[in-house]
Amino acid sequence: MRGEMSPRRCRRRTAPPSPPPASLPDADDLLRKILLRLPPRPSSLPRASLVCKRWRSIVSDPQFQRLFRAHHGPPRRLLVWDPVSREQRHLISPPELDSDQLFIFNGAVLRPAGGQGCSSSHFQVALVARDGACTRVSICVYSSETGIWSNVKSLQMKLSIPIERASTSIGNSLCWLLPVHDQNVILEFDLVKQTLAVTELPVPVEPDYQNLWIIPAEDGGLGFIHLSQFHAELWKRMPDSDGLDAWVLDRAIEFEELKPTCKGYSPALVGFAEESNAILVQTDSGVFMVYLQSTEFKKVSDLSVFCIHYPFACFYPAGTGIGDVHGGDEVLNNM
Amino acid sequence: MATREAGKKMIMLKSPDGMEFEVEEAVAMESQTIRKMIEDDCADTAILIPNINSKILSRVIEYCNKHVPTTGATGAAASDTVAPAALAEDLKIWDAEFIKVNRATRFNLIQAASYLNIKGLLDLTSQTTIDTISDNSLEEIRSFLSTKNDYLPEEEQTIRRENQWAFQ
Repeated sequence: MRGEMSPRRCRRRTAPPSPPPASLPDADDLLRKILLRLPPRPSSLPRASLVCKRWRSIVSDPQFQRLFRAHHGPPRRLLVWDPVSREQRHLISPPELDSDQLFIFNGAVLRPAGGQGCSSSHFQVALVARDGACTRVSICVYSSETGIWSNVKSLQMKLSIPIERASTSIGNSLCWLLPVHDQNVILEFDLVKQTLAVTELPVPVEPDYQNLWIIPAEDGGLGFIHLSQFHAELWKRMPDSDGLDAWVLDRAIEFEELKPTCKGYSPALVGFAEESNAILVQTDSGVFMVYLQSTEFKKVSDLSVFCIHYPFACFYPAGTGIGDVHGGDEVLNNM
Repeated sequence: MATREAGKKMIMLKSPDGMEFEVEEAVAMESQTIRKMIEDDCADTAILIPNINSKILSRVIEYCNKHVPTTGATGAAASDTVAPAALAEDLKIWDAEFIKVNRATRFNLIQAASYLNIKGLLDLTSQTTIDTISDNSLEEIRSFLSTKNDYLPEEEQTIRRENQWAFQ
């Protein structure tokens, strides 16, 4: 017979026999190793502590919590920068989006609107991520008031190219224009209901991603602008005869006055200033801010290289000694 | 190394229900516990694995066989022709099939992986268990793991209140 019992001096090295486990192994040490693999989301450990007292004693142990953080690696950090106050805040990125398989491709910072908004330092940060295969988008929102990231909301959708364009805020929602297959869709995240929805653009609109921008309609609802040479169409969502929301062409605008600024290339849509309801149009001679109500325009930059612009408006309380200026637009570009 | 080429060194593993498994030393040494015994020269004849039955032990050996690195004179040819990324991908697919076992077997494998100190197998078995339960309700987790809720209702309420946001 092959293989006698192992030598006596060695048998002492092995653990005493125990019955095979019918449930998870009893040893705390082993349970600790398993619980280390809980997903690194903020709710993981509080939830685990409610399973039973034994789980609670493990996950509330500071040593376990150190190992838990180490197991999931150091989190990435985000910088939130207020260009007016020059204030900088560092955030730890949401654990669920902080993975090698996910790529955060867009983000937005929101400040509460209204009177106290200017003095309030509270803000929200929304991040959008996609998976490596571009088949799923996930969104997560941070609130500076609570200091925590929300649970992640995800949606299956096949993105054709990764995008780097700013969101537009419409009512309680943040909206992103995303190219999918041979068309563009609007991804809408409702910050209050915490829901994600996708709206397709109307069929007659060319899938011309570079010349489309989401803008609020006059009633504050969802809309978009499509620029084609010196002609723009504004579309909005309206209930149709069945009461279902459908796209309606709201109005068209001609920008004939911009023609002299273009020598060869077509004008391109490079930004939208929400506060001023103005689009940013790039021509050969620079970037122009075109107000959608009056169609008046002014040059904001001499830059003739195509790049997306991020306008922001700042407001100075009366009596701060900055001349007569009570509000102004500035433009950042993403060079 | 001449000795390895001539014939691989074999190790005998024995389960408490009397089954014997002859495995290559390199395969057995995927287990850090067995490696230590071999290095300490404690494994001349056979190693008794006290609390792992033959069914589980054979699965563990199957895992180690698949995961043992193909190095040395004989293994070099195979690993040269296949890209490391493809090998890793292949292993992932194999792992996913391997872990399609019932709950009791998986828990036994966790215990075996922990006792034998096989990091890859412990990662695989624990992670699969956590993935199964992490999106479930507390009741489902307790029932899946055969764990009893030993909180008094008031205690449970207090913990819930302290961490209300986590249970929404």
